[in-house]
Order: sequence, then C-alpha cells, then structure tokens
Amino acid sequence: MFSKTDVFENVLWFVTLVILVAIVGYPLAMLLYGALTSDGKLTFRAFEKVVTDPHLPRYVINTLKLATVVTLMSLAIGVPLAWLVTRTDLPWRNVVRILATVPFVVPPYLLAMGWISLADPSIGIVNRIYRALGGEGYIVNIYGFWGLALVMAFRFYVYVFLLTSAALERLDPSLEEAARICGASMARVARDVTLPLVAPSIVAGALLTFVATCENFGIPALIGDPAYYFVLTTRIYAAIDMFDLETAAAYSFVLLAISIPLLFVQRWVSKKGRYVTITGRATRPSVIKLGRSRYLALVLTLIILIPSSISPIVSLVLTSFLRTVSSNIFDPSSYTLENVYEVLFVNPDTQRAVIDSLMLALSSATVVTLLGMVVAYIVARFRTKARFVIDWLASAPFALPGTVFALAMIFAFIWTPIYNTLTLVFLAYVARYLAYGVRTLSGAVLQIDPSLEEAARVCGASRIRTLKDVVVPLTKPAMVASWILVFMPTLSELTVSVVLAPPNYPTIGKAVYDLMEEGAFEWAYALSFLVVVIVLVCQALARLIARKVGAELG
Amino acid sequence: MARVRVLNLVKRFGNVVAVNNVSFEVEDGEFLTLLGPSGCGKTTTLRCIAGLEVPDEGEIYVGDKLVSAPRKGIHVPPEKRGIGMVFQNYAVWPHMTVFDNVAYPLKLRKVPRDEIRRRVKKVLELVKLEGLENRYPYQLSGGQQQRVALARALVMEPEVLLLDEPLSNLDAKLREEMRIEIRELQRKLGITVIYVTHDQLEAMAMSDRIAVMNNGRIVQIGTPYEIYRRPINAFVANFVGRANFVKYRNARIDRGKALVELENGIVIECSPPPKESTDYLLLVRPSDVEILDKPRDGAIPGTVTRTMFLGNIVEYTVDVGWQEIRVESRSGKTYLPGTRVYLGIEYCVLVPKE
Repeated sequence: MFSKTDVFENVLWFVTLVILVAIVGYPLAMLLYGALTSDGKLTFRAFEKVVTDPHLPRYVINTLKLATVVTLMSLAIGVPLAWLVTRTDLPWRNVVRILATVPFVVPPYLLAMGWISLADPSIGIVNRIYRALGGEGYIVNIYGFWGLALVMAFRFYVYVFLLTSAALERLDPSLEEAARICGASMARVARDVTLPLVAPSIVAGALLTFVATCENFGIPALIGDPAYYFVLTTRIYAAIDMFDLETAAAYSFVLLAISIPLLFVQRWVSKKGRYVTITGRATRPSVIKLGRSRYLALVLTLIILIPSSISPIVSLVLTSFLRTVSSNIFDPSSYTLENVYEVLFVNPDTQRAVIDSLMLALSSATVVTLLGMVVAYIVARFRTKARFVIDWLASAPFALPGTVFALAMIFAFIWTPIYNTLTLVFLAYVARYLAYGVRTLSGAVLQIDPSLEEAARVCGASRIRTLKDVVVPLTKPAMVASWILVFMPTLSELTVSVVLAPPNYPTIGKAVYDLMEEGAFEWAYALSFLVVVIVLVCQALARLIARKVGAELG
Repeated sequence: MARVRVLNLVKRFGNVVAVNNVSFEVEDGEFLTLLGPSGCGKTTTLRCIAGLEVPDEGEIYVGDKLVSAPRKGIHVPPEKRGIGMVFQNYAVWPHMTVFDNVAYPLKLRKVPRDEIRRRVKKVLELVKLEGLENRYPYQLSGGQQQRVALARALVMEPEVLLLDEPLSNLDAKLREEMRIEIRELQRKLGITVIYVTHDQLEAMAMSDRIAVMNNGRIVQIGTPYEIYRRPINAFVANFVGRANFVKYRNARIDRGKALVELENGIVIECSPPPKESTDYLLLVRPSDVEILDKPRDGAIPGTVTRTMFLGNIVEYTVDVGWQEIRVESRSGKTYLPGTRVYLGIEYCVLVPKE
C-alpha cells in the first residue's frame, strides 16, 4: 500500500483515508454495531424488531406501492416527453426542455409546499377559487395517496426524462438509417432498433426514480403524514424523534435492503446500455416531422408541464406574499412583503436558521470541493490499493437515504461533544455531498494528460508545486462548478438537518418543516420563498459560469 | 560530464516485465536512439532515466551521480535530476502562454526576471519561435507546440535531453524538417541526447548509435550503418529496413568473407555474420538488388510477377524459381509482369538466426 519512494503520496492518501474513515466508515460501522448489539452485547435486537414489529409490513407495502405508482407515472410522462424533445420538430423544444427540469432545481419539500399552497383543502388556492365561485368545501385535496404520488412523480420523472433523452440524442442515426435502407418502416425502426437501444437507459432512469421515491423524506413528511400515509423514511424520522433508535435502525435496514440492491441493478443496467450509445461523433439525430399535429403535441405537453413545474412555484411565491394564509387572494391589499421582512429581520428563530444554513452551505461547499479534489486526484493518479477504499467511502453516503445516514451519524457521535451541534451537521453534509465534488472533479482530473504533470516534474517542480501550477489552474472551472453544486442543496437541505440540527440552531429546511408542523404557514412560506430565490439565482449563476468557461475553452 | 549509464535495469508492471535487464552507456555529447516496436520497453527505459518511473532493479547514473538504485533505496525524484525532456504529446501547458511555458523551469529555480526574459528569448530564437511569446498553445500548430516543448526542455541548459517519440504526431513533411533541426541543435549545443522512436528512418537519420529493443531487452546496439548492414538477427534485419531472406544450399565463411551457394548453384560473395551461430539466414535488401535485362556473371535469372510504380522507385516481385524476391529499382526502365530479367546482388550478408 505504501510507496517506498514517494512520501508525498503516502501522506496524502493516508490523511484522506483517515478523514473518510472518521466521517463515513466509522458512522456506517456504528450503524451496524448499534443494530446488532444492546448494552454492548450481541443481541440482533434490531433484526428481531424487523420480524416482530406489527406496523412494519404496512410501511413497507406503502413505500413499495408509492414507488411503483410513481415510477409508472414517471415512465408515462418522461419517455414520450424525451422522444418529443429529441426526435420531433415540436415547436419551442428548448422551452419545453427547461420547463421539464424546473422541478428538479428546487428541493423536494419546497415542491411539496408549493402543491400544498395550491391544493390544501382549506388554504389551497384552487379550493379558494372554487369556494369564491360558490362551491362548498373543496374540490381537490393534496393529502392522500394520489396527491402524494402525483407530487413525487412530477419531481422524480426528471430522471427518466434526462436519461432517455440523453440516450436518444447519443444514438447514432446511421443505425436507424441502415434499418430504413433494409426496408423497415418508421414504426418498425422504432420497435426493432431505437427502442431496444435506448431501453437500458429508460430502465436505468426508472430504477433511479423508484429508489429516489423510496428514499425521499420531505414530500411524504409534508403530504403523506397529514393523511396518515406513512412510509419508511418518515417513520425512521418519527422513531428518531421519539429517541427510539432501535426501531429507527431496524426500519433503516429494511429501507437499505430495498434501495441498495436496486442501485446495483441500476448501475449494471446503465453500464450495459453504454456500449451502444457512445459513438464519439456529434451527429444530429433524424427528426420526425409531426406535420400539423406538432401544435397539438405542444399543447398536450404544456398541459402537463405548466401544472407540474410552474404552478406549484408560482403558488408558493404568491402564498409567501399573503399577509395571512386566509387573506382574500383576490384583494390586492392582501399582498405584502411583511412576512419576508419578518423572517429575515425580526424573527430571531428564522434569522438564526438563515445564518446557520448560509454558514453550513459556505463551509461544506468549500470543504467538499477541496477534499473532493484530493480524492479525485488520488483515485485518478495514485497506484496505492487504498484508492479503491477511498473512492468507495467518498461515494457511499450519497447512495444511502439521507435519513439513514443521519441515523448513522447519531450512532457514531452521540457520546461526543459535537453531538447536537452544527459541527455534526457540517460533517454529515461533507460526507453526504462529497460524491458531488468527486464526480465533478474526477472528470476534470482525468482530462489532464499525466504528461502535463510529468513535464512540470522534469522541469524541476515538486509534487505540491505541480499540483499548484498545473492541476489546480486546469481544474478551476470544475472546482467552481463543484462549489455551486454543493452550495445549492446544502443551503436548503432538510432530510439530514431535520434529524441532526440542534433545536435552538435550526437550518432553513428544519425551520420550514417545524413552522409547517406548528401551523405557522406565513413564516414557513416566506422562508421558502427566500430559498427559491437563492436557488434560482445560483442556478442562473452556474449557467453563466458554464457558458463563460465553454466560451474560453473553445 | 554528462555520461549516462544504465546498468541491469529491470522494471515490472504487475506480472509484465517491461524492461528486462537492460544496460547501456551514452557518451558525453552522443545522440543515442532507443528503437523498437511499441511495447518493447523503450519508453519505460526513458521514463526510468527521467525518474518518472521507479525501477525494480539496476542502477542509473547521470554524470557521476547515482540517481536510481532500488537495491540501495536511492531514487532521486525527477525534479532533482536536472534533465530536459520532450514528451510525445508535447505536454505544453494549455493555461500558460508560450513565454510562461518556456520560463517555467527558470522560475522554479528563482532566476532573476531580466535573465529569464533574456534566456527565454534566446531559446525561442534557437527553435525559431521568436515573436510568439504571448500566444496560447491552442493558437499554435502542432509543429509550433513541439518547438515550445523543445524550448522548455532546453531553456535550463540541461546536459542530458530525453526525447520520447517527439515527432510521431507531426505530418510527414514537418517530421523530416524537425529531424534535421533537432540533430543540428544537438550538435550546436553539444548535449547528450537519448531519443525514443519506433520509426527506423528517424533513428538512422539522427543517431550516432542505435539500440534496437524488443520484448524489454536490447537486441543490438551500434552505429546506424552497423545495424543496417550487419543486423544481429532476423528481428533486427526485419525491423530496420526491408528484408529478403534468400534460401541457399550452403555457405562457407572464410577470412572475412562468406561464399554462399544459392539453390540454383550460383555462388555469390557476401559479408560474414556479425557473430558466430549455428544457423544463418541470407539477408538481401530489396534496394541492394540490381535488375537487368541481360544476363551477367553471378546474376540470378527470374520472371517479374508484379510491378508497382511508386514514383521515386519501382518495386518488383521476381520469381527466381525457388522463391520470390522483392526488388526496389531506381532505374528509369520499367519491366512489366512476365518479363524475363536477371538479378544482380550488390550486397548480401549472413544473419544469425537467433
């Protein structure tokens, strides 16, 4: 493992390994240990619990039923949409593309809040319009299985959409043209050539949707719980909240037993699909002319996309401007910036949350980018066997459901002074989002030909000097990208911080969740409005930087 | 001064022995080429000298200094060896201008700014890049990037320069130009050069001596003339230049000459083998055969079976009865297939089979 001649290499990978073991390996081991023992004795209590818990079968069935329905809905929306955007002359294709990915930009729980503001039986805008028109009670109710499934499908179909459209775009059109020349009709080509070639990508996208639905906490917590539709993630949180760590561990292992094998299958399928998709040539895929029906197709697309992507966000923003959630939405004087002002400058709890989240996001984005750079460099360049362990540890936490990883952090650090502090939240963020940094940066490191570094060495530069003069300048755009990619989700993070953040030092996500529980809707919405603004600004910034970097390079 | 000595060098990658007990010496100011097919270990040998690979066994001296000796735990890192190196893909840093690229080794050595400017200017003139100081690599052609790499390697005035297939990414015409330029630079500066290539023409044109490598070992080391005229085995004969191996009945080696009786009874006089062996092949290079329309003493009769016009030469395949022999002819006359011709052998040599 240790190189005899290279001290720099040995020190670097050893220190990295120690850090990763401390914030990833050790918590995961403690999760297992906590499940297997009770008061230091081997008892398998958690596993007994799995077999004997009377509620568990229902939670498992609820989770699987929800994930199945969400996946089917996602396929129904995502695949045709991907085909329309990549392979037809649908008008406004680029607008459709952006609309389709909007729900992906905001964190899931904000999407849920948008839908609540739209379709809550009492405060929902749709129901208020209905009552204003003379109706009684409500016509739509978001709380319930179908409401939950719809909101999740509108968020997670993006996996199917993105993977399918990427595969359709990369597909070499000559493969389809060859089938046409052999005498196949358009329909036959689609059935015999196109579909089999993109099928692995569709399946990979569907599996991602399924796992994401099983692992998501924010949407079922805000929409499922009020309707008593309980899934594993929300029940793990409830158990931790009551400090029943044994039950939480038992439920966690059941959730892992569902998600981990599926992720392996997902990886296997997408690897399998790769051999056909990479052609290396940037060719324009053959486009099918929809003729007069292209406007019909556009209308149908917008009928799905406007409610799924724009309306919840518009509704969320509108609601955050209302003086109280029961104010008359048709009266212009009901709209005010008071609540936004209140959460930012008056209410000490929400102010605290904004400061906490900003500090956490700034620090974890910076640390993840630096640590991610080191990990990416070790994995790409070093020959030590330890690089496989480092690579695994850096990517493992992200594959775990956030709730489960937060539980592992509790098991690992409950006896230390950092338990119940923001430091623990910070460590959890670094571990969980490290995969973002590594993935972004390893691509950039792999693009640097090793000879560029060797040339610096031969010119007289030490290892560290080579990193500073060659590697860092060449990966700078990727480092900026990695920073933003981590900053955005950590700023609005809910799942991990709702478990780990101390009560008097909440994060924005935790504060929003608590305010919703308490029924303080005005402040909850005002706070989420701030998050939406910050996230959209970051997104625009990221696009701008990406364009600038693209322009510089070529 | 800068004599480079490599003794019993061994480098393994897993189970693969990339360099297997290689030894050679390069004299001060000499141009030595490591020549061989891809995977023969030539680049790995060069990288061991640069310090970019850590050898498993053996010793490497640069000048009087022992820089690699795994047995003694010695491995001087590349930045401390003071060697210049040019990489196959140039390895010109894309985020630095031409000036910054070339000035980098001097900056590392904390040379004063004025002197850096002076020396960079001088070396850029040497490689004919004056006036391009502020360009970025992507604004340069492949040949110009190559010169930047060369200037960067030369700017610290190293005593040893390593070149790893530096011309293989250039087009044919530029390659020929650069061959001459590099050779002239080396003569002018008097530096020791170790050059790696798989191109035998390049090796012959530039080198004082060539070390032909195969399967991690040096097969033959000598001047281009020796390597070409008296190859030590069939591999070298085939790899350096084109070869006919002509079947013969028997050969008699006597007083620096070899008398060979061919299958049709004709006896020709050839050069003796470079070393003793039990079994010899008779090497006749296609360019060493003269094609005639009339018989001559010692000429082999045959029939043209294929004619290929290549511009500067005409290439024939001639059936001499017991085998086919390839011939490259420079004469203006062209013989069509079916023509009866006579082959006059101007140079031939016995080559040990193993």
